[in-house]
Amino acid sequence: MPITNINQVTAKKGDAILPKWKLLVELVQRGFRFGRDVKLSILPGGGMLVSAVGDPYPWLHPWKVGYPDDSNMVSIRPGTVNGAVPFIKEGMRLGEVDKDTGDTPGLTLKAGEEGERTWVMVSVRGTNTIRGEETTYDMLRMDAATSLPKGMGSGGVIATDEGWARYPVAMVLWGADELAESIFQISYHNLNYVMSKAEGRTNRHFFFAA
Amino acid sequence: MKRDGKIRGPKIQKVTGPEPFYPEVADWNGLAAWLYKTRNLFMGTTAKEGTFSHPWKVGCVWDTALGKWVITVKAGFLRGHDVVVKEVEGYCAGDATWKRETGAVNPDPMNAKTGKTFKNVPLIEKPMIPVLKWRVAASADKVVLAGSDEKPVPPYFTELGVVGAKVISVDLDTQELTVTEPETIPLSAARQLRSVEIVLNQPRPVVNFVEADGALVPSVDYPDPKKKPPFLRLQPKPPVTSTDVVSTAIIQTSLNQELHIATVWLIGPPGDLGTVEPGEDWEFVSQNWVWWNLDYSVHVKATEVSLEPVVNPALGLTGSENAQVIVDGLNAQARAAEELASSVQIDGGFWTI
Repeated sequence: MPITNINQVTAKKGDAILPKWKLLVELVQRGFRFGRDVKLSILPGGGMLVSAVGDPYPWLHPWKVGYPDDSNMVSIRPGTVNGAVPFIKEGMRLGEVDKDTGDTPGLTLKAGEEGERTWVMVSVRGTNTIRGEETTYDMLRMDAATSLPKGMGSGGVIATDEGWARYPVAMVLWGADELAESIFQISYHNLNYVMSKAEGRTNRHFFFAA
Repeated sequence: MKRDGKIRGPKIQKVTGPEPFYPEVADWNGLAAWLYKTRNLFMGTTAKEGTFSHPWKVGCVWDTALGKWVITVKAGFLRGHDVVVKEVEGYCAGDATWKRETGAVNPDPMNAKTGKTFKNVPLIEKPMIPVLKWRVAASADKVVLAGSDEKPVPPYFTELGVVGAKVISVDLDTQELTVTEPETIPLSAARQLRSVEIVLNQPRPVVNFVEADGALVPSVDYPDPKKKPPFLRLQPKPPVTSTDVVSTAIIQTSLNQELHIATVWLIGPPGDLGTVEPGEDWEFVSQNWVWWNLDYSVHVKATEVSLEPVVNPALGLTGSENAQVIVDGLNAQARAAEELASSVQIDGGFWTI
């Protein structure tokens, strides 16, 4: 029986203490929820000090791009397009571990001059069949480019490059000495993609937060 | 068997060790009461600053050198392009802007009058945006129609001591008017409220008509984001929502597609009802309407317009006949203009990415 009243755990002299002890244990287990790395201190005056120990946890959202390493490779947290995780290289999706090296492959960027930009993009073969696990490296992959696809200013139209429609998930701003100065995240969500076919006009490719 | 006839068990060997703990009743009950009282205590971690802040997050500080409140907005993206602020004074531009534009950092960063203005400053370079004009929130001397554009003071601020306006609401069934009086607040506690809106502007496509074979044929020019990037602007009133823009003729008068990003509120100190311009002793509250980066789509529908031949006044006609020809010509032009105006329909919308 869960505890609902203080009288259930208060005692009189001579009362059996074990049932009340069990109730108290249950009360503690049910009522207190300690977050990870939380330290609770009771101060002499009866006050409580709740403090966080250790570093705060970053939000590991989809498409989160890390700073480049020495070989200018950036890590990308897995995200999905229509439920499918894009490929980072032939036969390997984002977030998968390479059995040969034991590493999780990232995307290698070409370092830019100070002030230049590189966009990390998700690339979809312009088709409406991107869904689930049926995708291949030739349908859904990660890419990088130093300019946005043509038509990205036009609203709704993304010019395809050999059939690929690309959408940026993050932008790397290069600083001095070919080092990344800042990384700006563009997409924080898994994505959906649809292509709108139009007779006599350019097909329109839409990406939106899932 | 002993002499008293009772059967006794084996003799228990005495175990040495710590004395058993028998809590006093008061101790036990004190512990129980404390645990009971604090069982629902909420505990958690507080994330340190810098771990995550969403795009378009607004900050507002009093700048002593400028003598104004300045706004900062965390960089947001529209269709992958970083948004800019137009016409930024040199003092409000950061080192990155100075370096990009002039090759060196601001030589006199404490001087509010640099005499320089930068045309398009990306938000990623963290420019400050001074607030030149605040909107005075509807106050006690105003009457607001419920549901109108003139928003009454939000309850959050009336709780803090801002005197709201009288609100009139109309019951459409009974045609009855109801006037809601603002809560009375003593003058010593009453506070003023100001606001300014942060609006994202996406330059719209331009439709040009070229005359060909007795008709005006449309061609659409989409704005190049390098030349006409999306930009943020401060304005006293919130923009018309995109839905309204699409469904009414307002689209014809608006040059840009607009999205309301955030409202910045300033609340004055209690009892100070005479100050017009907010000073450094005011407090700011930000209210974001958008938290994520954006994409947008625009759809342009432009149709051909056929031209009626315009008859020129001919010589030899009488005065009234001549006048009639002119009137007919003007009417034809007016019809063509009207047809031209209604032949273009631009709609679109923003969504999060």
